[in-house]
Amino acid sequence: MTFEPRYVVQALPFLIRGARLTLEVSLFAIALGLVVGVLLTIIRQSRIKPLEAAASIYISLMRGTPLFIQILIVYFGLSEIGVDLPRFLAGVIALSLNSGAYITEMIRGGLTAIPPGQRDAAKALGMPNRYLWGHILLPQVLFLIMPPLTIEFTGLLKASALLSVIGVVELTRTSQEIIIGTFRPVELWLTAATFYFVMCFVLGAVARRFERVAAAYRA
Amino acid sequence: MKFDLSVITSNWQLFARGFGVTLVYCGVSSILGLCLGLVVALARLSRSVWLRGPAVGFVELIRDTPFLVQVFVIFFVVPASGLTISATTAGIAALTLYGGAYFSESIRGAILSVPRGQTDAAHAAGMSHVLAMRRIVFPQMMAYLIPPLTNQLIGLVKDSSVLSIITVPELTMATQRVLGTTFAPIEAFSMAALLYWVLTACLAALMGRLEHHTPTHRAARQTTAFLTVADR
Amino acid sequence: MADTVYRRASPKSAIISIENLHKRFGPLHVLRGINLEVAPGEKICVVGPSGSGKSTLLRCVNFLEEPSDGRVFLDGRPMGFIEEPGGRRRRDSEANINRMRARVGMVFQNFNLWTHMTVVRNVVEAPIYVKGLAREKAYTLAEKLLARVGLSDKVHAYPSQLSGGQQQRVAIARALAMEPEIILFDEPTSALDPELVGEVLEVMRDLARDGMTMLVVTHEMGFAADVADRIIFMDHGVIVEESPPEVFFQRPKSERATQFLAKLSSRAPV
Ligand SMILES: Nc1ncnc2c1ncn2[C@@H]1O[C@H](COP(=O)(O)OP(=O)(O)OP(=O)(O)O)[C@@H](O)[C@H]1O
Ligand SMILES: [Mg+2]
Repeated sequence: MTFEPRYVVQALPFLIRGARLTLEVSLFAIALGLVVGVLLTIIRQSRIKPLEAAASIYISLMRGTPLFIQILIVYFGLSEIGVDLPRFLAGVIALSLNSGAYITEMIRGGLTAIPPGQRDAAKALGMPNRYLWGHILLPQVLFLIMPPLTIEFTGLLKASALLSVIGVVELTRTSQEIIIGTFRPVELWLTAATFYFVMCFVLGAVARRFERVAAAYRA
Repeated sequence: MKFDLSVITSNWQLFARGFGVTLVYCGVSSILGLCLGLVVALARLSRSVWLRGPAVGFVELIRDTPFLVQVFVIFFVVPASGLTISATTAGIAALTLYGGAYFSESIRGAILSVPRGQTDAAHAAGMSHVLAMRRIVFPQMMAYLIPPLTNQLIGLVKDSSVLSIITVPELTMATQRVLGTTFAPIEAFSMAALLYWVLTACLAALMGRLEHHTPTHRAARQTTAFLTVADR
Repeated sequence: MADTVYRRASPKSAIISIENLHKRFGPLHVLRGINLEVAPGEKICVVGPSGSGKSTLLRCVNFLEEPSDGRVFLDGRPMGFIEEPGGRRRRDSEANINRMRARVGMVFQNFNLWTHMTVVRNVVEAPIYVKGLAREKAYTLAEKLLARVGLSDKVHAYPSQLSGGQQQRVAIARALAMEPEIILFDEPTSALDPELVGEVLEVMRDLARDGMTMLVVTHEMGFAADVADRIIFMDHGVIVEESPPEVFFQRPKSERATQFLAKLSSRAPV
């Protein structure tokens, strides 16, 4: 079997649309994941023991089991309890529930990188906790975690390929559907891989740029 | 909705067999992947562009594409070049390449973490390059290597579930087989998740013990605590 | 200033009054029964060797550290604890602690300016969000205070763009913006290059002339001699000596203070 470029050309508009959906689903997932991550962080700082324990178990489960299984559980679980969400949304939820567990660890790391004096200064002025977190700690943490967060985003971009299994027509699913019609796996898979590669490579460069800025800031 | 335990109890053999297959696949590919990773890491650290270039290219290629797509490329694209390839071979190959690329990054990082003065001192004491690597660098780098390697091994175990898509009969595939007869997805997938969880927890504990036996583990832990890349 | 008469504040009129304060960090007994009163307008300098508990004392005063035993009163009200019948005490609500902290300013050795905010935002942050001051008023106040510390041209700079001396002056403006009844200074010039120490001390002298109540931990003996009404000498978690500056620097009463001053002699003013 040879590589026939015309199949690539034919598929290109569809693949671009698929890639856009891949980007969209990942963007929504990282945004929602950030919310989950912040919530988990707050719970873990709450000093309410049962809540803290629940958060720890959640994080351990999310990090210790395959995302693939998590996606399937969310997908089937939602329909089982009668929630009929669009596949796209189910996918976003599954990804962000998982991502939140990783993001909260980044936030934890970022928090330890903030000098304790930043907290002291706020407390010494009588600043209540909500402002201490909202105005002092979280903004600094978000800045500090930009590099790993960008890498997390590429992680989600790659992970979103798994959403093809629950019928989200992102890049991978699009390729599969075209292959079913054309029987050209070689052209399609190599092109899809190239699409992913370009997106991740660019984001990787962005992450390195962030890392330099953050390093300069920390120094 | 209620949780039907009989789904699990009456199918435990399927789960057990799937678990076993997952263990074998992960074990074999981890070992092969570590060998590959070491070679790639050394190639990346070599002075020759001819070694460094392909090594960098390989790592970037693997790191910047989804594992699922890598599996499809190996399973569907490689045969087009005339090579016949079974699901087993494709699965092991995919996991090995994938693991190897990520492991090589940790290994390279660990080697670079050993302070330059340590090798200088070894050379000053008359050790050859190879001897310095073997006696000084490798033992010291273990402390830097184990934490990221643990994450990556866990990542490999979790990602092996993707192989079910090309019908490798591992745990996720077995779970789907259970699903075919019972149609109780929540019960079946929860059981699978639990088994993966046990496996990754054991792996983490095992690596933790190993780390404890390395001499300089305290020094290294501080440098790797922040900004380790999430691996899924 | 040097001829200020040594006086002890009466408990009732004291702004801060510290009674038998103890602080332990695990097995480490850092403060071992500190008693001190600070009257309105009084300037007290705390000196002593490293590790003697000076910072810990200041941090206990505004409850950044929770005292293990003893009490701190702010204007006659116990700080941070609620006394329950039966002699037990429990931590006051965070809101109450914050309300009291808002009345006590603090300037840190490492400035601790919030790195992600401009100079002026550092200054207006607490007046707006802690005191509920209107935005325009807060900004007007901030500009006035920044002018006072000589930083009108740095209003929109970020802390990282400032020298240490400039950062510390911003930190002082930040503390002043809350219109505190007392300001605690924890070695405000120790992290500065020698040539920048003067500009910060000048601002502090200006505050002292203005009648601000100040509790200053410092190694700047010249400053202490000029400005302080009283010198507190601490060692190993206790107040060893409490003297007016002319006594402390010329005829210290305690042996330990004599030794301490001898070690510092290269930097001592007399
Ligand atoms: N949070 C803490 N946990 C444990 N020990 C502490 C803590 N803070 C201070 N200490 C210990 O308490 C002792 C007194 O510390 P403190 O910072 O009050 O001394 P200091 O007089 O301010 O010294 P310096 O002149 O060096 O600033 C030291 O031995 C210090 O190690
Ligand atoms: Mg101190």
